[in-house]
Amino acid sequence: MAATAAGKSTIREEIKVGRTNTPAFAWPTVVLALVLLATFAASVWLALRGSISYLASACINGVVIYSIYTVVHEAVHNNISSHRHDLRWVDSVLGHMSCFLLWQFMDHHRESHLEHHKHTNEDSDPDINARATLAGYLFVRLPVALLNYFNPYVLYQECKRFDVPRDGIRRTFIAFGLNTAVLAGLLVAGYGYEVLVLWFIPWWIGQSIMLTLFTWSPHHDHWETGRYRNSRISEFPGANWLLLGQGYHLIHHMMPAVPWYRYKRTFDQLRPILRDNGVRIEGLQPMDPGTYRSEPVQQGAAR
Amino acid sequence: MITVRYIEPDLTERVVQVQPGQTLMQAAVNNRVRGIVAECGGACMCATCHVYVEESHVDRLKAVDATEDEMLEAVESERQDNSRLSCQIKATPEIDGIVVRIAPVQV
Repeated sequence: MAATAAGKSTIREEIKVGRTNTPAFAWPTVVLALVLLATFAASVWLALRGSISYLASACINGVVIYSIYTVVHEAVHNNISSHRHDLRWVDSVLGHMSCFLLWQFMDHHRESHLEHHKHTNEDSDPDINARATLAGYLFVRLPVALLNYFNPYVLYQECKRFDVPRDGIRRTFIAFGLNTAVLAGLLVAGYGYEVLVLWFIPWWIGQSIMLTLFTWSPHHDHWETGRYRNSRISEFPGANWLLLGQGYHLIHHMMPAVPWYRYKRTFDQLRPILRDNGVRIEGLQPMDPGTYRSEPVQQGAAR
Repeated sequence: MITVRYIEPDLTERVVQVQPGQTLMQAAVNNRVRGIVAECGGACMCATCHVYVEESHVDRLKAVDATEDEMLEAVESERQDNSRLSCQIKATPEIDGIVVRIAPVQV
């Protein structure tokens, strides 16, 4: 049982604070989704008609792709409709639309992501491939993971591994087929270069940055488990905007119903309690594990 | 399909056919069973899908793990020996016919 040095569990108090920061409906996320989708469409359209350069469009699209995972992530947790259970379709619609650009699939990703929450930093964590040095992650594991996005066999195996319900597997492969059909259609129509420059290169860069800041950085070095230690707080000037709140990733893991734009406020309100519970409050760069852990963890050691 | 009987807080009984692999929390929310809040969406981090499992089915479930045990300490209704978080119970043939009583207070 997690507890402060005084021996008292603070989970109820944390949940209460989280609840006060959970809106009935997350309008800012809807706005974010619509702005990003419209920006992507406008950027491609302007590039195709020659109003902006392909390079400018590619940069804009990279930012969109980096940012739009936040919409997918919120949708996976039903955090857009939040308390409005009758509006779950909003999460579904915005989530699927955003997933399209990312070549991700809502039903598969929901189960994978919830598994990540339940087994954060354990060997069975779907994101455990980020247990690597930054260079090892960026240049080896991340590229392999990105290439696997396009492998339907890997997708199916993961659906089975994460117990995606039958309907979810069906929707996953309908979405995969739709993505593939759109891509094939564009290639056949002679837009191969545009697909590469305006979608896939921005996708590769945007996804790499997003996954590094969303997966590698918050959980580094991917050995610690438990409510207060499986993620860290990363504070530095401008972090909240640049990371769309993910500097406070620990807050998300502790209270997944809190939306991204309320992480900081929730953390500020809980800061003393979290400090007492031994939370890692650091900067952009994760601290060396030796500075916060007395004993090094051995690869393959019992957790 | 797996048959699950939910007893809502006002004692109304709801019988739901659940796809294997789906959690009892997801099935309850999808079928508008009353009383499950499920704030965190199934991440075992909010203790708002608390149910009491009929005694005869308790042993057929996977044991409570450390995370669920920690969260069960934070439930609003009284924790009992048969308390579980429904987001941690997956529908499998072994639990076909399971009866769960939804805890009266979740938030």
